[in-house]
Amino acid sequence: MKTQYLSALLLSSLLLLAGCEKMVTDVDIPEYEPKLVVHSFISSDEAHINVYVSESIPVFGKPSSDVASEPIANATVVLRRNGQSITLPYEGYTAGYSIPVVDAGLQPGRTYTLEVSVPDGRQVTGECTIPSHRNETLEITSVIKEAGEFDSLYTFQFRFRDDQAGEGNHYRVFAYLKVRFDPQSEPYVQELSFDKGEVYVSDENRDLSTFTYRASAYAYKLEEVTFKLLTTDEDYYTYHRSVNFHSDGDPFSEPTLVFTNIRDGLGIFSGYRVYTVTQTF
Amino acid sequence: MKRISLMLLFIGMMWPALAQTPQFVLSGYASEAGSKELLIGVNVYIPALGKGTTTNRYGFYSIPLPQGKHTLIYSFIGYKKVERVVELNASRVIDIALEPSLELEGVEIKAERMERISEVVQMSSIDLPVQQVRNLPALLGEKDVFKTLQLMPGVQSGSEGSSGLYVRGGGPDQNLIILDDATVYNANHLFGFFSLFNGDALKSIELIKGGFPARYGGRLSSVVDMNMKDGNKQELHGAGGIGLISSRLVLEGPLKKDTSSFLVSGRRTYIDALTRPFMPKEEKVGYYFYDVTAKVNYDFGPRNKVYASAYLGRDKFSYLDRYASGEDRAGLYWENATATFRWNHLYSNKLFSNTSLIYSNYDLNIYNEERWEDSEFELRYRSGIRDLSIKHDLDYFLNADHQIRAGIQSTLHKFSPSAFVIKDSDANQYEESVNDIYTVESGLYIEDEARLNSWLKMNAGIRLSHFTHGAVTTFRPEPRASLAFRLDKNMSAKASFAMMNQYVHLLSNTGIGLPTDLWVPSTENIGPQQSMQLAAGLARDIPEYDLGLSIEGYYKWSDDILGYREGASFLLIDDPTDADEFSWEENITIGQSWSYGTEVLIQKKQGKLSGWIGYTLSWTWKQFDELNFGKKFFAKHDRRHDVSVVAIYKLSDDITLSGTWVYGTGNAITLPLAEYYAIMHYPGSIEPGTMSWFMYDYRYVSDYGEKNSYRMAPYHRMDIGIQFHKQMRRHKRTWELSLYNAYNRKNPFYYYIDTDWENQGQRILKQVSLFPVIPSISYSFEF
Repeated sequence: MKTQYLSALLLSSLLLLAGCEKMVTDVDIPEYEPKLVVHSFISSDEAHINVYVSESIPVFGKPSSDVASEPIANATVVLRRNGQSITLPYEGYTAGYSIPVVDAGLQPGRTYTLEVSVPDGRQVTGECTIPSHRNETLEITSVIKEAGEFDSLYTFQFRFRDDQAGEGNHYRVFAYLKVRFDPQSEPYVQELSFDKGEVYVSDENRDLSTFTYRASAYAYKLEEVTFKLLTTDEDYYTYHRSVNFHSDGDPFSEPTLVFTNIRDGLGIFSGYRVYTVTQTF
Repeated sequence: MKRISLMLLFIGMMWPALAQTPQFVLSGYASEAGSKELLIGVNVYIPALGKGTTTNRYGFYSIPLPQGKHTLIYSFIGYKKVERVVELNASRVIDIALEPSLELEGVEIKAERMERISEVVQMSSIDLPVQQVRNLPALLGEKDVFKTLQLMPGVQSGSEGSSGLYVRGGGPDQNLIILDDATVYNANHLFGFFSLFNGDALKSIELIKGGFPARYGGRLSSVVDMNMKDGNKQELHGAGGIGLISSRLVLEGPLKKDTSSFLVSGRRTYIDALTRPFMPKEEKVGYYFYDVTAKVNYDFGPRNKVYASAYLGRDKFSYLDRYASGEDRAGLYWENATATFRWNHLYSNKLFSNTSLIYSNYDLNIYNEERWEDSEFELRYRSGIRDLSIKHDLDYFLNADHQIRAGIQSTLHKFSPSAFVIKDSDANQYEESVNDIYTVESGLYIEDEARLNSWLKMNAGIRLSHFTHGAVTTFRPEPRASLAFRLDKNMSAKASFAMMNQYVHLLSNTGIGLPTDLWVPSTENIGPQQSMQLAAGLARDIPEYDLGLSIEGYYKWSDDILGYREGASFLLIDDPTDADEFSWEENITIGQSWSYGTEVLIQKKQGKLSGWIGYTLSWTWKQFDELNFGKKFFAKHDRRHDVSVVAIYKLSDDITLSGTWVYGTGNAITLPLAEYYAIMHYPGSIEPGTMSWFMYDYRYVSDYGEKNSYRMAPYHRMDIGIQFHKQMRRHKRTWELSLYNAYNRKNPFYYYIDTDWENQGQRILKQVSLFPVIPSISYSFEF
């Protein structure tokens, strides 16, 4: 269609005006000190706390191929609450810092501070509160199997209700299956994506609503399905939404920023509760 | 009508000043000697009483005075002062004709009664002398009213070459641009590089940045009120010019001597005509713009005058491809059209009225026609806005201390966000879609410009604004007030407050003024935008040097302003037929903004050397719940420092030199500074404690820092020009040579990220500039 051509013509004539080689000049690149990037999601309902530390790579002044940033192994990672602190050791096989939740004594409703420092003196902190309430209203409403020649199609419907009056509640919904793809193979675990329903939920303007979901998957045999309803803090919700929507944009749209609650750094430190419903077949 | 007069009278009676009722009324019109062109803003002053008035926008004045002998002084910038002694025994009509003074003589005129900024109540306003627009150097020699306004403190341009006005932190969508009472919606030619108005046909240009009188409403940030010339009532005159990209011509003259006159003006570019012959016959691409204005008036005597004026401007891009088996045409054009019919009526020598019928239309059209031997395809897309308005204004000269203005205006807007027709003979398809939206916007106002005592003047008023869109009705009162305290003979302190509401919004995808920018009404979800502005300042006249100095501080708070969601794009034009499903409301987010700053202006309006120096120190912040995670950020056009120096020097009768220099802090933009992996939580850990970060879902993202935290390089530029005038036997001609961007500053237009392959593929930041030094030459004449 020629209209596309025209809009291109319109814009390109603008750029043409500007396109003379002489009118392009180098600009001093902005100064940037690499920042520590910290990711950790903690819950009193889980067995372990994991903290991952890396750093950001400046866009300018580095070869464009130099993208990945290695995990940082020599950081000091300290979890604090009310003057008490515990240091998390680095574990090479997870490439993160980890301790059992029982050692840290995580409790719902409590606020924790995470302090990460590296030998060159950079230090960042994050703070989060593990929600005191855990939403346990998730229920499976139906599992339908449509047998096929070899694989069957499984369709799941489930729902949960926002059970805390007042806005400001946030949730994350997650589901996975344990399936076999043929009679001989070992059971395989796979994430279930939703045909209907949101992964990250805010009850803004929807206080006390019921949220319904539908998902389906093909498998030779379904062994087990697990649904998880996470009651999260707001930062958890904001962060994941911003990562999901992140785009560098075309020149005519606004770039989307990725949320961080790590002071002097990047990344996320947030708390959640988890309620699990499992059904075996 | 009678009821309104009664109401005015009643309000008037509330003023104790009414007690000292004057006996007689002195009234009349002020015009230019020779052409009989009515003059706006002529000072009428009675030194003995220390009282005075000014002519309104139709050249009318009225001043009630006590019986006796009075000396009156009529003065207006650029004209010789007239002194009249009047014995007042009955109400009298005195029409006055002022002789233009040659600029050079300006030095000799005692600047005693020239326009004095310390005497007017109105603050934050700029009267731009049309002559100055003509004298200043311009890009490619195209004189431009808006670009001249950008040289004033508190007014900024958005980007290189753009004629959009950013007034006190507001965007180009927040300016009320009116030409002979008609609102002009898209005041741009060619991506905003040229504004619609070249100044030839204009009589007055006023820009108001704050302290808005109640008679204006509907936009948050500024009012640009332009009036066309009426046309010479005595003899035929003309002016014209030939420039590098366009030519223009104005003709004015009497239809019936002393009673009726006309004015027509036109301008057209000729790049298309020049380049077309060099294109292959099978493929033609063209661009042009033109604008035409026309005005006629008829004077039925002192009580009734009528005016009809119209404007039409059009830009067109077209494309034609010819093949053996058929042809393919496509194009895009946009058009502004306005028409105003006005009737001035004097109910009495104290009550002046004007009634206007107004039409305004802005249209963007895209078409594509393909004709082949056996098939045909046609697509037409249109978007736009059309206004029909009626307006009635009253000027009531209650007494020498009170002038009351009141009026009512109602506008029927028709918004056409998108309308299209598709004809396809292959698919046997015919589709037509129109989704026009009708809304009504109205305003009722009253204001009293009063002299409360020898040291205090005020203009207090209220505007009641009303907007109806379907079932949604909004009614908002807007209080307005301006005060001027006289501190001494040449100095006054001023303060003002104004509340404004804006019921129509502009969606702009790029901010560079593309014709695809779309006007939409307030809706249930997107309410009217509102602003409140407080301003205070000092105005001082320095008569010895013919200088006016003003310093103003302002604080403006705007609520419910429009912003674009992160990732939103309005490049609808990619496929106009998609527009049907496109909901603009989903791309919009609502927030607030604050702007504050100080403006200093030193201006010399006449003399051998004239011009001004302006400086602005300002801040503009925005906050949107859905942008930058709710944290406030600098607006893109936040400009800490803005300087402009403008000088026009009459070297002799034959030579005029002119120059401008501007400096502005760089725009605030969002730039990726670094990159990192953002890990997303994976709650489905299989073996507790063994989750490695490699098993997480992650995305490679950019760290932009805070929104708009990076500053582009500052903008600065100097333009210079020289004009050679010569009086020929029948006409006066002027050659003008000018240099735009005289010292070839590479100003930033936009930035992009590039890879330097010669240097290990390092990423670098590049700046694109638009205009290098551009010389131009033009020829103009007047007779």
